Amino acid sequence: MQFPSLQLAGSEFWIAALLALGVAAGILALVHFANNQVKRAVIVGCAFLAGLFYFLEFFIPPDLKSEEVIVLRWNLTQTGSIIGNAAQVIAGFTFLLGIYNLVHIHGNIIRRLRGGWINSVAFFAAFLAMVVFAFWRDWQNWFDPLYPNYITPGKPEFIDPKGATFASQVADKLWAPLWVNDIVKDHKPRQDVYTLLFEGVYRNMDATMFSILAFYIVSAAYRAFRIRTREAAVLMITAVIVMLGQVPLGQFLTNWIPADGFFHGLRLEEINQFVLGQINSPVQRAIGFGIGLGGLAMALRIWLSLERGSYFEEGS
Amino acid sequence: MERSSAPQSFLASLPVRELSIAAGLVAAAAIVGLTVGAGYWKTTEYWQTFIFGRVLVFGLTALVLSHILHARRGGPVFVRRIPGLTAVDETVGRATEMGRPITFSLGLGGLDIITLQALAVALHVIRTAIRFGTRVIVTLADSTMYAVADEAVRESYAAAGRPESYNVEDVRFLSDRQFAYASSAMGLILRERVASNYMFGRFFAESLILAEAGNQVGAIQVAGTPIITQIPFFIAACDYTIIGDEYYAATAYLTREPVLSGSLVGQDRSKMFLIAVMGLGVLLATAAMLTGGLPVGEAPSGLGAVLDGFSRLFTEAK
Repeated sequence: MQFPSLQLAGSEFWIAALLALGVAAGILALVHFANNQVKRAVIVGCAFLAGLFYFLEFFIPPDLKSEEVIVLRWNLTQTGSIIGNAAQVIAGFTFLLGIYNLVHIHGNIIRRLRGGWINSVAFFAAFLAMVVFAFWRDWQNWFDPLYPNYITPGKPEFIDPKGATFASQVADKLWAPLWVNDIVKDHKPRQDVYTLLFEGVYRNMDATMFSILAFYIVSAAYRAFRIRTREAAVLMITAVIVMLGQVPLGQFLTNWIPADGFFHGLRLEEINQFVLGQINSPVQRAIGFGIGLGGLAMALRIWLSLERGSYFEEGS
Repeated sequence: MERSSAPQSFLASLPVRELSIAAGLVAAAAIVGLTVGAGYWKTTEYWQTFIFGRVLVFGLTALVLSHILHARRGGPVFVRRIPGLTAVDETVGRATEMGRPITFSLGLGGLDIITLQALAVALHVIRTAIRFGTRVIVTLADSTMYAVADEAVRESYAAAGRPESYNVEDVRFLSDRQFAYASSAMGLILRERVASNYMFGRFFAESLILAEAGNQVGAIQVAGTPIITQIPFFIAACDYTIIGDEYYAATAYLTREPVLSGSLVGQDRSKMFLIAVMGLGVLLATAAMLTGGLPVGEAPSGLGAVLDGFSRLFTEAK
């Protein structure tokens, strides 16, 4: 028996959806209303079962041809993707919690006219503008079954960008004027409000924040390279060698040393390669080994609920 | 990382019973593997692609697990001092004296072990701060993690007997976009003029932006991340930086829970094993080079062939 696929239709789909909702509501109710001992048992049990699934899915070797893990005709690899989808649905719900948190905090700031309340007004304006124009533009993608036909040449509902009544057709069929949903024509960039907000405002502000990093690197490097200890001196000398070894000027400084002679290792680019390849890389790998093993131990502790006292008090 | 509290020989310190269980687990897994992949056991490619890597990870898992189980029966384990984590009292004390809050950034990570470990450290700082009535503002970039953090922080206040002191605004979801989060967290640090700033979790380019913001307001800064590329930035800009596997040792260090410390022993033993493997590999490679077992452009022979087979044992599983 192959694990049932997700391609359900009609009554099967609705039964599966209601069943999933029922199970989820049941677990939530159990966690919410049960006493602490039961709550803990439910959480520990769910964590163990979820971990066990991925443990088996990773450790049981897959089939050579399909490269999928199948145990007793149960396809664990396909089931893993179904569980992944379920996790995404849960994450979608928690996004609402995040939005609630933002609205609550900024709403309070405006209501009490705390310092910087105008920034919170800017938050609401930006938030609403993005939500309204994104939804107005893209709602067809989600809800209108005919939408693919509007943009597919040859279909009866196709909106021809070159047509004489193109604008009115768009307004009629998409319930959105061109300044809200600019149909892509001749590979030209869209010019609707959402695109303007995203490409013209958000992207640039994002790039501005990233560019700040360049200045901060300079100030952080200045503090790190101030020679106040022996370690700082070693760091400074190494940094100068590596920096010079990366640029043509540094290579020019030592290019009088023969490239194939006995002393070729003293050329700056050679020293640079030695520092990066023989010192820096092994150290990074060593740290990586430690982190990998630490992550493995941590994952085991979370899976087996051994992180006592770290998240919730003992017995709570 | 670890050292037994009482001096004893290495062999005597080995958890024989638990190691036997681990060996049994490995054997059972091998039987399952042979049964599942019975049709392919003669195919060398199958072993190399799917089996060897899994056996290595499974062996290491069993080793760590055996030490965790052993620690449940044993006594406390000494964990060396980790300066960044010892500084918790100092940072909270400073914030209390100055009457300013502490910020704790959980980074960009979602609900994974990196962010969960960061949350565990955050909760320890919060529990210490609750005793002194000092405010800790936790910031995050993942809404799933927000739900977990909010509940855990609320629980910490309740467990300390001060549920009314919990302020919903002290756990903040800022944005799920990298630089929107960075600018928001940076603004918070500058506006609140925080006394101490913690950065634990998954960080990328925003690490230095946050650390420099903390520097501008003169905050004591403690940072830790398993993202290797960001560690140098934290070292340059922070007062204390947690490096490498110290990050995952944090909860064991802070709670002194024997079971957690036991996993550190398992980690260290695993490291010893890997170092031994590397040493053996270096010796084999050197010997193969000296005996001409690794001719250029030709198949390895002699010791070179042994080295080739040895390295295949440690190929990452697909």
